[in-house]
Amino acid sequence: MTHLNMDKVVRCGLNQSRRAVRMLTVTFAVFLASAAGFAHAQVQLDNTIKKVETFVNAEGDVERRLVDANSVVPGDELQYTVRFTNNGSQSVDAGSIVITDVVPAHTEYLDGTAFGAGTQIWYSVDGEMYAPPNKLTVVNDGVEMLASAKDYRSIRWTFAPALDPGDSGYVSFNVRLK
Amino acid sequence: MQYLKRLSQLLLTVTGLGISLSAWADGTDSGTSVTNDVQMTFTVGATAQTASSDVTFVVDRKLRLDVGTPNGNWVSAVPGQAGVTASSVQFAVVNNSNDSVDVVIALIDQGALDVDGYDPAAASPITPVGLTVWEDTNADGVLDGGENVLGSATGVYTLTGTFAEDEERTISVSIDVDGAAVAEQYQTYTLVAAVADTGVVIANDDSSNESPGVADVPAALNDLATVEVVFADDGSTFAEDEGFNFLSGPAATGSPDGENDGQSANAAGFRTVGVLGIVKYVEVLWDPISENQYTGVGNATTGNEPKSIPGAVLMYVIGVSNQSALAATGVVITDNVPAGAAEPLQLGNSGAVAGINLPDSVTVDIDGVPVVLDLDNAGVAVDDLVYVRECSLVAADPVNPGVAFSADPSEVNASMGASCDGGATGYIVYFATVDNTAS
Repeated sequence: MTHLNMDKVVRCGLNQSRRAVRMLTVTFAVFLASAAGFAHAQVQLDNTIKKVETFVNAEGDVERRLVDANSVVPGDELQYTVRFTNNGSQSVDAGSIVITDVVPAHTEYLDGTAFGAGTQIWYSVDGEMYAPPNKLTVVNDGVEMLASAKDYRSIRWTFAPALDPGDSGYVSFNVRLK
Repeated sequence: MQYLKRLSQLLLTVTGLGISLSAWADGTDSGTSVTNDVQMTFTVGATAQTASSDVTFVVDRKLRLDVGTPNGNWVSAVPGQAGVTASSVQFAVVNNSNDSVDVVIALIDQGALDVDGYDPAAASPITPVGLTVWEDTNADGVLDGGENVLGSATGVYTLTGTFAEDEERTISVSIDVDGAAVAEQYQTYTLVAAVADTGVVIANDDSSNESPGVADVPAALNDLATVEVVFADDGSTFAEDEGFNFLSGPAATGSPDGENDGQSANAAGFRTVGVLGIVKYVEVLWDPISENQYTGVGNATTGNEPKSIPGAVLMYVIGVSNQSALAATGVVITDNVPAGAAEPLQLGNSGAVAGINLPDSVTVDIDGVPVVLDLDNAGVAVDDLVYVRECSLVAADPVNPGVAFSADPSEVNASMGASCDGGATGYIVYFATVDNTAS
């Protein structure tokens, strides 16, 4: 699997409804932390999108690069990168970080592109049950068979190490816009 | 928790919607918002916490037209044809965009320009008259009542209404062909289709692509939330599929249509081909009173030819000649045997039929080519005869042995072989007697 490094983080605007949901989520998190008496562990998530572009280099070889996803049309390959940073003063417990990302509507996951250093990557075809690719099945015309990448509707990364204050990491995956 | 539950329900609903809409042929509709919402759970000192982040982009407007030639690049034309009821050059314009779009076309006269490997440079072009261009609703190549005639000249036309996604329309072009035209004349047209809004060609997209001859206009800073225009059309390798400047007029002939320029093109033309000449004549070979014989053009009986009286023997000759340079296939000659006035005659071996005295051979004329028929039937084992000479035979070959009549044929027919190549001739010859019975 080839992973493309981010050279620039694009922060994305939220529409009104999304902004509202996000505020509620943050409020909920703070409430939990306050109630338990721990107010200093805070992990910030940054979700960014880039377009994967092919180009011919000076040697005449075809290469891939990431560009801003400002012009996105059907058929384009996109890369989502989720960067997580511990901005708090306490470590996040080892093995406790679980990142779940639904493959966006109108897109299909591209096989083998999910990346996450130090993570276990499982997938789901229904958004509920997660399993590694070799144990994920679907039923087509009454026949149970191994799920293909196009069947994946959700991806889950489980980060094994602890995340100390100031530390960060990222996970990513690629999709193609239908 | 209630909010999280609702959020989860919302996500599942959106996901399900995505699956149901994924079958769109030209991709996700322009303007569709696509959101990715990532959730994270973790613990700090065994206390559960969550975080989330989402990002949304709007699908841009991918504009792509394709122009096809459903009848191929060359359409046969017959000298003397009246355009709108005869063969037509057809162009199929398809909107393969992810949005509806207006379409403006340009029809360009290319004379006898080469298309698709043929090289008609040495041939004279057809002189196009009676040009008619129309939206061929039922794509039958014939101008029907109610179909929208765009005009009677080359130039720029705005097609009616807006093309929906996947919509295909046929533009037909017809001409009248001079009756004096000969085989291997050509008339080629290029049709260029360009995307437009409210009838005005979109000359620049938002990715620094532009129509031929149009200056680049630096696009405003794009962003995730704005629907930008993206040209996504294919180019062409054929020079006659030319780019066209809709703002200032035709581009230089010979420049291929480029990719991602907001327009697509294709070329097709008329070609006078497959002109089969057919000749049919009858000669009186012998009559029972004078017993003179006809032996062919320039024969010795000139001035004293046999007469077509009852009992006389008639010779029917039907020949075809391919006057074009292209092979014609499936050529079959069918002729109705004259009923009543003549009865088919089966010549016996050695041409011996009681009371009839035919010449041993006769020369027939097939489109100017003299051919000698051997009527004494030497070597022919059957009572005959319909002489059949297929097109594939060359002059030195003997005629086919012939086939027997059925007992009382009403017609004769024979294939001219697998192919009638350019310049080839083929024919059938059969015989009959003038009815000698009283009516």
